[in-house]
Amino acid sequence: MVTKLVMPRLSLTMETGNIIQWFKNEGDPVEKGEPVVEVLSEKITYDVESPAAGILRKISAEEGSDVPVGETLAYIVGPGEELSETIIEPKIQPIVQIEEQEREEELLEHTEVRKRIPASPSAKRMAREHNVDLTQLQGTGFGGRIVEEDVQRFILEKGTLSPIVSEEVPLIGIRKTTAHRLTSSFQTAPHSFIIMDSDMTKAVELREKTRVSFTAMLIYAVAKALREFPRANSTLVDGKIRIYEDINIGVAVSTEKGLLVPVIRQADRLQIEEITTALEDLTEKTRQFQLPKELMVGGTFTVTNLGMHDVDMFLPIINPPEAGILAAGRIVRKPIVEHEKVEIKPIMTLTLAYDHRILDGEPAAIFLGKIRRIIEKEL
Amino acid sequence: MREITYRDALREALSEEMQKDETVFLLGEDIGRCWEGAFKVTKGLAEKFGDERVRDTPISESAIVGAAVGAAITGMHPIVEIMFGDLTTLAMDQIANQAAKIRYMFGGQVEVPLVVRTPFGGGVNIAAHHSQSLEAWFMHIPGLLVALPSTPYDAKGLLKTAIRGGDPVMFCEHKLLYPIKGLIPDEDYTVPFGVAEVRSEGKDVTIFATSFMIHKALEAARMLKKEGVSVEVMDPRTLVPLDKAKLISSVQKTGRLVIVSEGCKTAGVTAEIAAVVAEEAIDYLDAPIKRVAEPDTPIPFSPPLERYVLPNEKRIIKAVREII
Repeated sequence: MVTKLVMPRLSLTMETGNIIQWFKNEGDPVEKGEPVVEVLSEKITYDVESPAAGILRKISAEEGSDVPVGETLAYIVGPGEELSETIIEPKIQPIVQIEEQEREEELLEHTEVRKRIPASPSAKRMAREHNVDLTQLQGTGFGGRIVEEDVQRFILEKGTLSPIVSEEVPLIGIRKTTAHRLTSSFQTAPHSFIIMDSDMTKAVELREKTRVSFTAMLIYAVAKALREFPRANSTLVDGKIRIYEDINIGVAVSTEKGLLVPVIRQADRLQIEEITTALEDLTEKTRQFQLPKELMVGGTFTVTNLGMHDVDMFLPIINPPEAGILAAGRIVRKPIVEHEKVEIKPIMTLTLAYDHRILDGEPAAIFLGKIRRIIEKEL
Repeated sequence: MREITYRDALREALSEEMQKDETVFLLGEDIGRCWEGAFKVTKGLAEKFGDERVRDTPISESAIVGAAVGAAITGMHPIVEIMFGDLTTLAMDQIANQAAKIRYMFGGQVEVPLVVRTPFGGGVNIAAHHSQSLEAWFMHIPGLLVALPSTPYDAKGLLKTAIRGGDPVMFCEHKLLYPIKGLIPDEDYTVPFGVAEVRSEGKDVTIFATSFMIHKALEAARMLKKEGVSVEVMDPRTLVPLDKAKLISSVQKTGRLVIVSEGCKTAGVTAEIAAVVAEEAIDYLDAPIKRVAEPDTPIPFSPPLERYVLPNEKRIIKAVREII
C-alpha cells in the first residue's frame, strides 16, 4: 500500500508551504501520526505527520523549497514494498522559478490567478462579476461547494469586497506600449532625480516679445546643454552606453489615445523660433495621428512640461532606453532672496530624472545647472 | 377542445392530411384492413382511403423505406410505419445514406418529404429486440429531423408539420404513450419543430426529458415539490432541430440540469444535451449535470430486470437530490 504525504492546507488562504526540515530520511521507518517534516505557511510552522505506517520513500521536495498545497512531498510504502516508477510524480520545481518565468507576462496582461476553490461555475461567474473573493465564503452546495446562492447571500450581507467594476478597458495600442515601456524603464533603470528652480525672468520677457513657447525654450536649452554633456545624450542597451552625435529631443504630447513622444531632430542646430514652429506642427500632427513614423522614433533625450496644468514639479519616468528626461513645472512668481533683498521673480522648477547606471549625481547636477544657466542667461 | 388518446391524435393527423392532400399515403407492415397496425394507429384508414393509399408491404424494412424515398423524390408524401423502432436498423442504409443525403447530393434540387413513424421504448416486457430507443442514432445523421411527441397534442401537431415539410423526419413514438389522453383543439393546428415546451415551471433545477420520460419527470417534479424543490420540466419536442435557446435560458435560471432519456447513456441523447449545456452555459451551472438513462445493456426480458434498467421517477428524484 503506497500512501502519499502531501503539503497540507494550514489556512484558508494558504497556497504554498515552505519545507523547513525533514525529520526523517528516505528509507527510514515511520509510524502513523509520527512527525515527518516541518513546514511553514505564511503564518505558522507545522509538523506534518505521517498518514500511514511504513517506510519513507522518494522525498520530492527539498528543504527550503516552496510547494503548492496538495502536492506530494514523499511516499510511505509498506514493509518490503517497492515504489513503482509509474506513480512517482515529477519532482517539484521550486515555485520561485516558475514565478519568475511568468512575471513578465503577468506584468503586461491581467492574468487570473489559478487557485482551486471548490465552487460551481455559476458561483465563480457571479463572484467574478461582483468582485467577490471566493476564499471568504463557506459553500453550502453539493460536496460543500460554493454555489451561486452563497455568493448572492454574501453580497447581500457583506457587500462586495472590492468596488464593482463598471468597465474593463483592455490594454491595447498606445496604452499597452506605454505600459510596457514605462514598466520596463521604471524597473530596469535606477531613477535618480535632481531638482532646481530656474529664474524665468528672461524667458518671460522673450515670450512676451516673440511669442516663442516655453517648451521650445526648454528644448533649446536642453539641446545646447547636451552638446556639452554628450554622456547625457545616450542610451543604454545590452550593456553598452551608446552616445549619440545627433541631438534629437522627444517631447511628451498627450493625445486622446494616450501619451506619444514625437521627436525634433537635431534640435541643437535650431533657433528657438524654429523649434517653436516645428513643435506646433509636431503637436498638431501627433494629436491628429498624422505624424509620419520617422518623426516618432530616434529620440535621444526627452522633455516633458506640465506647467500649463499648474503643476509645481513632478518626477517623470525616463523614456527608455534614454539616459534622462527633463520635467518642467509651472512658472510662478515667488519671493526670492538676492543680495540680502527679497525680490519677486517668475520661477520654474526643473526636475531631471536620469538613469544612474549612465550618469552619476555630480555630472547630472552640473548638466541640469547648465540647462538652467542657458534658460536664465543664454536665450 | 376534446380529450383524445395519443393513438387517436396520430390517426387524426394522418387522416386529415390524407384528406387534404392526395399525395399523402401510408405504407408499412400490417397497417392495412387486416391488422390495422401493431398499435392500431392506422385503424379504419384503409376503409376510408382504400388499399392503394394504405399499403400493406412485405416484411422488408429496407424495401419499405427505399420505396418511400423513391416516392418522396417524385413528389409524393409517403408516411412509413416501422412496426418497432428497433427494426429501423434494417432500413438504416435507406434512412441514413439515401433519405438524409439526397437533397444535399443533388444540390438542393430534390426534396425528400418522407415521414418514418415508429414506436420506441421499453416497459411492455417485449425484450431486447422490441424495446430500444434509438433516436440518438438519427440525431447523428445530418439531414434527418427527429421528433419525439410526448402528448396527444404534440403527436398530432408535430406529425402534421412532419408531413407538410420537405425533409425526412424520424417520428419517434412511444409504446406506452399510445393510450394516454390529452386535450387537443377542434380546429386544424400544427406544432413547429425546434420549439421546446416548458411542461412545468420551476426555479431550482431543470429536468430535460424526452418522449415518455416527460411523464416520469412530471411525476418526479410533483413529488419533489412536496419537499420544497421547484422543478422546471423541459420537453424539447424535437431533438433535431433542438431548441438550445430555451434549454439554456432554463439552465441560466435554475443553475442545475438533470437530463432524462430512454436509450443507453453512452453517446446517447443525454450526452449530447449535456455537451451543449457544458459548451454554451457552463458559467450558469451550480452543480454537475446529471444524466438519467439506461445503463449500457440490452433491455432485459425479465420484468424485474427491465424495471431496473429503465429510467423512472425514483432515479430522477435521486439525481435531483444529489445536486440540490
